[in-house]
Amino acid sequence: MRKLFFLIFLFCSHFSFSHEFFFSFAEVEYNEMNGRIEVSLTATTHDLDKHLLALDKDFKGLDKVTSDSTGLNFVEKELNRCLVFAIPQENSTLDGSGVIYFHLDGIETALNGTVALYLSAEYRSPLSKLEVTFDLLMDDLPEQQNKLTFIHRGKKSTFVFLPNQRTQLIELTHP
Amino acid sequence: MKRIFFLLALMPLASSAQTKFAQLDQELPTPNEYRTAAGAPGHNYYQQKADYKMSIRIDDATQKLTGDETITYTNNSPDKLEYLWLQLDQNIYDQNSDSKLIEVEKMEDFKNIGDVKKKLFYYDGGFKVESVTTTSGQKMKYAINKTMLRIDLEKPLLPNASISFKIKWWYNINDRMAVGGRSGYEYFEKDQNYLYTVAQFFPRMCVYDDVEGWQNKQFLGRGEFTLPFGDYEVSITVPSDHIVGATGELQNGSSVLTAEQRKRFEKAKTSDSPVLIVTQAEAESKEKNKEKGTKTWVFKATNVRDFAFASSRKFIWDAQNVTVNGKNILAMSYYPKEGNPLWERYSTKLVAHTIKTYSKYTVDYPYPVAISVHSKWIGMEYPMICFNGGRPEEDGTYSEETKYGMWGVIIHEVGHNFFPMIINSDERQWTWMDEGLNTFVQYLTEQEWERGYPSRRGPAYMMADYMRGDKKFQSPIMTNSESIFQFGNNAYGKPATALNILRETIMGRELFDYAFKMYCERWKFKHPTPADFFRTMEDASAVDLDWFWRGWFYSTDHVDISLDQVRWFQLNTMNPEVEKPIAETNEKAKDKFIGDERNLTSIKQTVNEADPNIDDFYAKRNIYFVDALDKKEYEEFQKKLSPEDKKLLNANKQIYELTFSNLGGLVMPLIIEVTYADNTTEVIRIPAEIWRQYESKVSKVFILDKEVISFRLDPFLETADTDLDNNSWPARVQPTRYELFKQKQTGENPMQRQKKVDALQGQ
Repeated sequence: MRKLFFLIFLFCSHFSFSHEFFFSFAEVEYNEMNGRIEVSLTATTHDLDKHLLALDKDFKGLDKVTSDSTGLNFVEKELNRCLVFAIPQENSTLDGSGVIYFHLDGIETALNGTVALYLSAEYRSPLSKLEVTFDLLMDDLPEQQNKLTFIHRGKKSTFVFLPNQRTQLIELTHP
Repeated sequence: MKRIFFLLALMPLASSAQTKFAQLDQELPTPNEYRTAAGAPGHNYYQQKADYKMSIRIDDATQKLTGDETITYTNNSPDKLEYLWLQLDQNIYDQNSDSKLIEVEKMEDFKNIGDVKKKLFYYDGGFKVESVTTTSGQKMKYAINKTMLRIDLEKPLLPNASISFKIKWWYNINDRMAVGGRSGYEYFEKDQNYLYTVAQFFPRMCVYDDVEGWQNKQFLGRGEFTLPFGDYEVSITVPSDHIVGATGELQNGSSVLTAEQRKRFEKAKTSDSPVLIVTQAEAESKEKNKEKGTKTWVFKATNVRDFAFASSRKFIWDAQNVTVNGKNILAMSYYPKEGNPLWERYSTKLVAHTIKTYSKYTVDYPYPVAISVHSKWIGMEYPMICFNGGRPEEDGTYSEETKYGMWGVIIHEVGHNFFPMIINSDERQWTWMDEGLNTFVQYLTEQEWERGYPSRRGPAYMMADYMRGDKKFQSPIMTNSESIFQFGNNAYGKPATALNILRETIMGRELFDYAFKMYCERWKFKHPTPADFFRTMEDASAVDLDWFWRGWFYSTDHVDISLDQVRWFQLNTMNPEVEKPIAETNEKAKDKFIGDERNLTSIKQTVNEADPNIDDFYAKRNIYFVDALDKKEYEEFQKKLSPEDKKLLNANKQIYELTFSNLGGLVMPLIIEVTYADNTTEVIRIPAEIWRQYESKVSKVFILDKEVISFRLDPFLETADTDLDNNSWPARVQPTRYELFKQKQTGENPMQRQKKVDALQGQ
């Protein structure tokens, strides 16, 4: 038996909407020539707003955060918790240095209720495998499904992430 | 470029099993006397009728609803019924309801104290059925199976016979903000008032039909409601200062409305813009000075499948007239001050616009009223009335996203009057039949509200992200409501996209609109099934759509068609004066081996250059020289040609063979944009049937008047193609979304910019 330790968050119930979307999509390109991983992540604004508000009651909303460096730092930190790129080490064990940290380069909210978040990271070491966890909003919305299209050397592969399948191994082929 | 002697015909490159174009005979039910092969109601189509007379009371102090009803059920079927089934939807809130038990959980779901509180939250929900009796008061035998109630009849109900019986019940209304749900109450702590949006509040008859028998599939929370049509007379007793909006027409305005309110109500009936019947100031006054008595509001509704209402002393109320083909309809909104300024400005106008636009594409709105009620967060629909979110900030400001969110939800929920309230499909079985069709017409309605309206669902390209990738966690649209992965994308977005593609690309607007309207006209106030929809769309348009239904509705295939190869040819004129110089030029233009090039200078003289006796006939012959025989043969060839042939040979036609692969599995038309060397463009549309025998790879030859510099597939983003990188010749890789974002940037990210702002403010 294990003991559960709880963080005290706001009591934020899950409510059903008639227009549930419960879907986010990430397009990730790894460009080894310039040593960068670039990500665009699209999600439903009000879902992500609610998620962030539950973590920080002072959060002002994604449409306002573009002019608030504290808010941007907060969003960046949370996105790095929900979209994790880990480099599997020898024997498949991970250590802290094997996790790629993404910088939040920008946020764009659209009038149709979606938000696009742009992230990037430098990565210049050889890369053959990536262990990607993409569980954005899955703890809030049981139906959440996330997809990620990974682009490397012009080849695209799409991966599905579900609450019971939050991590996927991406193997980069080097023809 | 190559010169060819013969025209190339369509050349199949690979054979495969013909599954994508197989007719749907195996999947669709056999037509019969109830439902025809044309998709129309058959000559013996029947449906049951359920009429309700109800008295409802809401206790505002305890948030308890008490009711009694007399149901008159008419058996129009050819069958005798030994028992009757009713729905007890409130039982989904029972502590032991299946919907709670079947929720998949794991420890990670309980990561904070709030999650544990939510799990342990107790609410004494569910119907408390007090009695089921005959109209003379005799007890009737009944059994409750979770969300269903069966009444065992003493004698079977015969065809064309009716039975009346009474049910008494009560239940605790759910706190919608804590429990969630499609209906319930919201408590406003600041002024200590309640706003009730009440639905699924009475035991309702199940549908009995030729498809399912009794549709008594348990209510688990997703698959909504399947209900027979009938007439309702409902008395609703609430605090005397409440305003009530409900399905149907108010019968006793003289006893529940003030003289001033009645005057304003009459004015609204002829006004083409909203008239306030209860103003914000009046509603705010009532919030502060609560009355203690009660009033009973009486409503009647004819030929509806359900009844819902809303009640609160907080309600501001406005209304306007909207005319559909000469019939006056009262569009109305009920909202608390918390909904303003958005609601007063837009809600009723959106209701009116939705009624008019949907009537154009489906059927004329048949009911006397259409109502939008403000209800934080949700969007939920009932006949003539719906509950909609869209709440501004407390300071009265709102974001543009909130405004569009409110507009979209009102259009969508008012639109549900048509699907499924009038065109009454089985929601418990097929969510897409109402949500998908409704989302499609919602898109059309949004675009008529504002040019360039930022709709989230409808256009094909918006579905590509959902449809791409691993299919293990996707469901075909034709999946029962309770079992769907990705409910919103699957049951709302994908069918709406599919219909949009049918309208814009496969059928064209004229054929589609006629067939779609025909389906709506055929099945208004009836119970259509998917087959009725599929068959009507084909039957009324003469477009065989079996492949489309099969791909889009029965499979999880996606669209990814690639343009693999382009080969360029020109016709050989057979004229040696033309062809030999071309051949010579082509030979000279060939890439040259570097050793040969260097030898031209490093070898000063070869043996045959030094010795004239080395070169024989073959070495000396000029194969590009036009000799007498060439000319004679050409003359003979010319004699065999007709004038038309000669004209064609000399027309300098450019011939291109394009090869396509179907990588995603979903067959679609080939829409090809051709850009010519003179920078003019042309769009060529090839029907999806090009894939009918060769489902994975096809080629097509185009004989064009001008030289082409590029081909591009799906230039108008109308097929939901998930990979645009393989759509062009010459290859054109689309920029990633990140690259597009960076192109818009000024060189600094928002954080860097903000640091500059912070520094300035610190100065």
